[in-house]
Amino acid sequence: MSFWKPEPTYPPDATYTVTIKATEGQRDRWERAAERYGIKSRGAFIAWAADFASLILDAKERADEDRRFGMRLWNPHPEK
Amino acid sequence: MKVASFTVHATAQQSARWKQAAEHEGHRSAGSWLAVAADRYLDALQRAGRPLPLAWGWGNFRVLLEDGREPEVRGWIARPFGIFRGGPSGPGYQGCHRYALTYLPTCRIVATFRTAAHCRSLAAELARLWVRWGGSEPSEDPAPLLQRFQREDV
Repeated sequence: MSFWKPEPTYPPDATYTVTIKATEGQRDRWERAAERYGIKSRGAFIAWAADFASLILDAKERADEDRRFGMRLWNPHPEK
Repeated sequence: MKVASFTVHATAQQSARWKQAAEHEGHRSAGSWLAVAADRYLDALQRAGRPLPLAWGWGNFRVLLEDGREPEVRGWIARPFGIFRGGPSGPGYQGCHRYALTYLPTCRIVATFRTAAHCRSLAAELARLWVRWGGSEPSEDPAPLLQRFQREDV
């Protein structure tokens, strides 16, 4: 999987379906984005964007956890 | 406002990951989170522009493995990221087709790919988008690259 060049279609084992409700504006925007990235459907674009978003969330959560853990080590009794 | 439904196809892994992310962000369904994620991705790209390639050099860095060990490994470094051959279980052998992108301030592995080029691509995107993604980096992180992004974000 490349974040520079996303796959143009769904992977062959994409057998699950997720239903999305969207406004016309959102659908138009996602279709334009899919076209710009050379992805064949707005659904495949959303899947790609969601993968990237979840990766960033995960990385951010880990960094936050480490920061909190570091603060606890530094000051184990903050109320005192 | 006219709203319509359509479906997005996913692998089992993607489905599980999206459900987890949706729950984490307080969404009732993966579908509503997907819509927000797609919009947020496009918003972030608009603000951030095209990601820039980082300057990679050769060096040593520490990485936290899944068994809790934190060995020093040799690999490519472009702060705040490092890439080494191997994965969460440890360094790999030549030709193992596994490369791990590591976030150096926490020594954590962000992702494992089949090629180092994929790691570099993701690092370039993360470096550009990280701070702008509605979150903030730990203030104790001295990485000059991220500080520059923070200044730009003000």
